[in-house]
Amino acid sequence: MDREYVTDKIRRSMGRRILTDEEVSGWWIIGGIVTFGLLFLLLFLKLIHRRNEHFKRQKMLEEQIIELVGIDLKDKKMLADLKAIHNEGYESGEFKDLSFLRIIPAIITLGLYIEWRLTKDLMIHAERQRRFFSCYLGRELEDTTPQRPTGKYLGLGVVTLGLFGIYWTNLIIKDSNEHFKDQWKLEDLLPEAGMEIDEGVDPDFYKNIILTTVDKFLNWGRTCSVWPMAFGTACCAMEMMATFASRNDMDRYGMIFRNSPRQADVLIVAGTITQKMAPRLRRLYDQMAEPKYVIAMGACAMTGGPFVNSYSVLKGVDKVIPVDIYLPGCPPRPEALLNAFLQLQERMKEERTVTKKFERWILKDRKEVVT
Amino acid sequence: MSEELLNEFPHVVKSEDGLLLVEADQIIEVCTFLKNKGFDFLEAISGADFEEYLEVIYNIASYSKPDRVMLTVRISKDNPILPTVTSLWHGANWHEREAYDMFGIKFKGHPKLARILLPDSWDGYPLLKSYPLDKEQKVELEDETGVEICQI
Amino acid sequence: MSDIRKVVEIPINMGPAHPATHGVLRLRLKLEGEIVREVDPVIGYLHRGIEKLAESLTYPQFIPYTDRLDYAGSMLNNLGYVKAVEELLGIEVPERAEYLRVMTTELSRIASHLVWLSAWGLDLGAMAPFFYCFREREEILNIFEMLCGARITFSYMRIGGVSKDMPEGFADRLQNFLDIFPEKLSEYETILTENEIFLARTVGVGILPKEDAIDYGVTGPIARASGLEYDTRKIEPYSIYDRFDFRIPVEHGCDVYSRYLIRVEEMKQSMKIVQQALDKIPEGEIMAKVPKKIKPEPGRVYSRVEGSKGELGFLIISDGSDKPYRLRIRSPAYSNVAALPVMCENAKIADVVATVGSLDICLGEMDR
Repeated sequence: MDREYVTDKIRRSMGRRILTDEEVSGWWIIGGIVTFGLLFLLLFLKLIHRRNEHFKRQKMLEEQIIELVGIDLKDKKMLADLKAIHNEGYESGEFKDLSFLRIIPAIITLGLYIEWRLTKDLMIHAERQRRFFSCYLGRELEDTTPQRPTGKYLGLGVVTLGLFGIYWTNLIIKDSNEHFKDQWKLEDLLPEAGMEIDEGVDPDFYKNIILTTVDKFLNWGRTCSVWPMAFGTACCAMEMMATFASRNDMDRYGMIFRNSPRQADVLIVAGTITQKMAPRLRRLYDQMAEPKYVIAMGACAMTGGPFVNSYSVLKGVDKVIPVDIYLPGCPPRPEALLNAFLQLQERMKEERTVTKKFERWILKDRKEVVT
Repeated sequence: MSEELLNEFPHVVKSEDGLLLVEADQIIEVCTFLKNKGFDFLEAISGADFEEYLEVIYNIASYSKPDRVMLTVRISKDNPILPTVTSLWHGANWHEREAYDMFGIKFKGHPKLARILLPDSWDGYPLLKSYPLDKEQKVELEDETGVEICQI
Repeated sequence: MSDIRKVVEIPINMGPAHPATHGVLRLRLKLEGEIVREVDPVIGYLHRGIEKLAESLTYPQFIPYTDRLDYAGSMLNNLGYVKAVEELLGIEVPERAEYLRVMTTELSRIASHLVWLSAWGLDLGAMAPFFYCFREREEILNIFEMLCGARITFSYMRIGGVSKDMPEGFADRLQNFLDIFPEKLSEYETILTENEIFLARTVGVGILPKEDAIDYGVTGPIARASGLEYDTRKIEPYSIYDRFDFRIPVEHGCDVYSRYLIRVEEMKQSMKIVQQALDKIPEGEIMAKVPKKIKPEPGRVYSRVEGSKGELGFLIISDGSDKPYRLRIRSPAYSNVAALPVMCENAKIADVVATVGSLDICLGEMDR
């Protein structure tokens, strides 16, 4: 393997830390208690109260009707029946307003379990990672992640009826944040240090909770309806058709063929591209709406394949258009194309269109201020 | 069938390796003769490049009997011109265009002698032995729009 | 007073990336309203220079390239090429290999026609045949995969025989397919053959008279739909086709509907051939004695087989070395598409789609 290529991949992985190692603020705890806890408390109270009120009214109504029937005293059998039905009582017995609080112990148990696992995992992970990097760098690194006595905390949590859990959550947030910071420092120490990220991206933007949430929502929509453009030129088109036909039905992933580039998200270049075809391919790509992706399907689209020596064949479509996924095979099987799509979905989940747009807008503003 | 052809046309000769050699200016007459004899199916017209000369090979068969004839016309490399047979078979049109596209063989009287498989801006004739396999070509978006999109 | 309804001629470009052109065929149309006045097919968008590449490859090395000619039915190209080289060398192929060749090529023909039926159905707006046909095609591909490990590009044939013998369980699986396929075929026919909409779109559309078919050198199902009883398997039986009982369907409708009927009937006849071959296949060798280095004597040969699209010919000129001096492929679709302007004369634009689809073009083979 080419060393430079692998180094490049390492840098890409480092660049991804902006997306993965999210710093979480301690305010989340208070936010969680205030919003989630109080809202549900109110809602439950309201629901139970409503129920009780309704039952009370119905009970009164029934009693009044029985009274009326008693006054008339015409049909004794009906009176007896009504009384019997009435005395069956409440639907599921009494429900005092605050009795639902019984669920709290369960929530506390679950919460304590989650906290216990998170703490323990982080400690094991940090220790293993320290050993890994020590081995790679050839010197002993110091252990920076604090050791927490998980068993003791668990006991404390139970004794204090979960109140300790709130403090514990705070600890987890703090520990993780510090672990990320330490690791970033450590990564910068490596000889291959350097981040491969999009040009001009300010990492601060990736922490913006509103922008990232909007992006995630958009990405969810995009990954669930990837519409490829049917662009089959040669043998690979047969396998592409087979992928979308009955056996390997791609519709179940929300992928439907579009014949117009303006409605498509993905361009599958299935087959050999000749020099006569290359400008057309470029034009089709230009007609697609952003964000767009390209799958180079088969050896011909990747490099020219068996026809690489020919005078009229383009040696790889990446000479004309940018390619996201290279799919080898001559031709690749339908399963391989399916896998390529699933990989593309992973790739699409990292898209940050709104963030980038916002950032470009801000940067443009700044530039104007400077000039 | 070849015996009949040799008797009819004294200029048609049988070479040592069994090829029926036809003079370039006689090809229409020979083909007309064959067509009248029931050889109504023009399978292919192919070019071939030999060191001293170019060859045009006519494969003529019949829709009703299993007989086949292969005619060979030898033309000089400097002046590769021979008459077209599109007046006999419309199907010859594309085959002759391909021979022009790949070898630069010109067919006199052809209705539209232009490149067919390669772009119009192509330089050289790729199936000639002198054409290098990896010769680089500059391709731009052709005709109608006139807008250049990309270069390779 | 001038007629305000007079329509000017509008040039329209169809393709090379158009769903109804089955690849990268491009048509330059001149329209007068909805009537097509002129059709000019532009080809070559998939010209890969296979003929030039062949001159730099040895004879066996070229076999995989034949797979990529007509990729819908690769076995037929395999056979066409190895048969030409065998004729050049004068090799006798063993009996068992001949039977295997006939079986695989006929299955390939069915697979190719299934692709055509599904794609043409889509062109005409019938979605269901696409899914039905691919269901059966997948089964054929599975059978091929069992035999040679590939789904589309087989390279199964060798000069002097075939590469692999039938594996265990192959015959049962093939028999199973032959048993269920007629039922499925009648299913397609239920959807299409007597369907009002289908008839309205196909009958009397894309007429190619017999004289024009001869004039353009049209072969295959299109020629047979124009009343020409021409099939290389019958007129000049190659391999062992003279031993089987099958008939060549001929229609005189000359339209796209006749081409549909021909292809459906051909599938039935191919099945009949496969059944006979499977029943009669003898034991024995699958490869003839072939020299290690294949070096034919100087000479030339033109060999033809009946491909799924028409007559597929290979012209090989040998100069005595281990590489062909010149290899020319006579592709059926090339001649068939040349006749497209005749079929589309004064047709409606929607009928152009139906006509192009009925040609069953395969650009890999056409542009080579």
